[in-house]
Amino acid sequence: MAKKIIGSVKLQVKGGQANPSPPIGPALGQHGVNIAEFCKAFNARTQDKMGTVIPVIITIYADRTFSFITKTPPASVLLKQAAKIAKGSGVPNREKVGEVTQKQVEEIAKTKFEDLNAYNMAGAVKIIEGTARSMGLKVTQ
Amino acid sequence: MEENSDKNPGHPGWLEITIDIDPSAREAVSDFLMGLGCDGVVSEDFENGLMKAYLPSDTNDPDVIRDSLLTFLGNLKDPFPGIADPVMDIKEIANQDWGTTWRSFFYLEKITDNLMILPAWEAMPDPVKCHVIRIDPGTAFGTGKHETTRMCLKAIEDNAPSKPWTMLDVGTGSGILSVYGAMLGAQEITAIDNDPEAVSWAEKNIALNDIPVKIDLSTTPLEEIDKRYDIIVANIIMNTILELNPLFSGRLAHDGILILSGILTGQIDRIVEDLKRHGLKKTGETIMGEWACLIVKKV
Repeated sequence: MAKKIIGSVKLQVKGGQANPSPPIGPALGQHGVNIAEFCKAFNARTQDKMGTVIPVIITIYADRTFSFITKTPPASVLLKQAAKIAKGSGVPNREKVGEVTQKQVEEIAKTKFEDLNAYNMAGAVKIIEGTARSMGLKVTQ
Repeated sequence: MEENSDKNPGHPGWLEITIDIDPSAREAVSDFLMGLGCDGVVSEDFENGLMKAYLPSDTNDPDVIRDSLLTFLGNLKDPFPGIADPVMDIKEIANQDWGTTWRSFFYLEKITDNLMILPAWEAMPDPVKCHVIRIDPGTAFGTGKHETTRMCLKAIEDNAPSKPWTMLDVGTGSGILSVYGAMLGAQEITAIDNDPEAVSWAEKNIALNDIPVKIDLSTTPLEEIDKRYDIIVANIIMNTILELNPLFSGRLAHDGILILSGILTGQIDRIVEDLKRHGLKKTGETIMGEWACLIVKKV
């Protein structure tokens, strides 16, 4: 019989660097998850992506055991890689820090499609375009 | 039971930032929060856009953070037309012992035919015909329930020599493996961990158990250990094992056993290849779920 699920948590944390401080501590501690065990497992699985932001979805069962899946890096990380910039703009409406092509945006939308709240590819592309603009990236043809 | 107590009264606490935002803009907000210095972002409701992130309160002025976020969120309607107004709140929270809140779900459990693990805060059961380790792992790794700890405990049990023997525990965590080594007759045990907090928890766990030998516990790096041991156990992670592989052979007795875990099954081949370069060979393995435990000897 499948184990009863009591909750799910989605986190974005840096690969290989999970520790019991916030946000992991409060997010998992309230569900009774052994945080040291989660950190060990997450760091083991992501040690080759040390320092890269990794989305992870943790499923917590009634006996307080857990399982988790890691996802591809967030769209913002992929956009920064595509634009070859280290950081987005703090004031994106005034200060542009780089640009990405429409083709790059579409590729990122394809990569991230299943993680986005989009009904179809056009919706996913819109979200990636919006994310790019919110970071101070210009989307070019 | 002490639960959610302030782990470090000197810790300044945290600014807890809560943002309710249209899910389409969640990635953009996450990136901005990470840019502010947050170590991560959490969403507990995937369908809606409620997110939380944290910053240390001593180095961040809540008013400055609030202004910065309000400006950023206010501008999101341009790249994300039609989204509802985001809602944001910042409050100061005390540092808490999040690492131990799970303890209320930790019960007596049989780990091998010869070993039970008992939470430190529970009464010893009626006389039992096996070893019982009392444990309070605190924030350190090693309740005995994780697959890697179970496999290491069983490997120590299966490989404990009948003659007097010595043990080195690399990355001791809660100290559970050293305690079991002592119960199984190790005459001399050295336990090391690079995390002083783990060493502190291990010290408490050693004191909780009535064991007949002194365990030499410290943050001494493996490089500085200059003895040879009959059993070396290292339940860590692959990258650290790869770093330490050149050092194991020189600290392993002629017919000694090296027990390695914290290894994912997909990482076994890489570890085994590296062991060969350092005069070591795999002689056995155990798998539980996605984890492996290797038994290694000198070539």
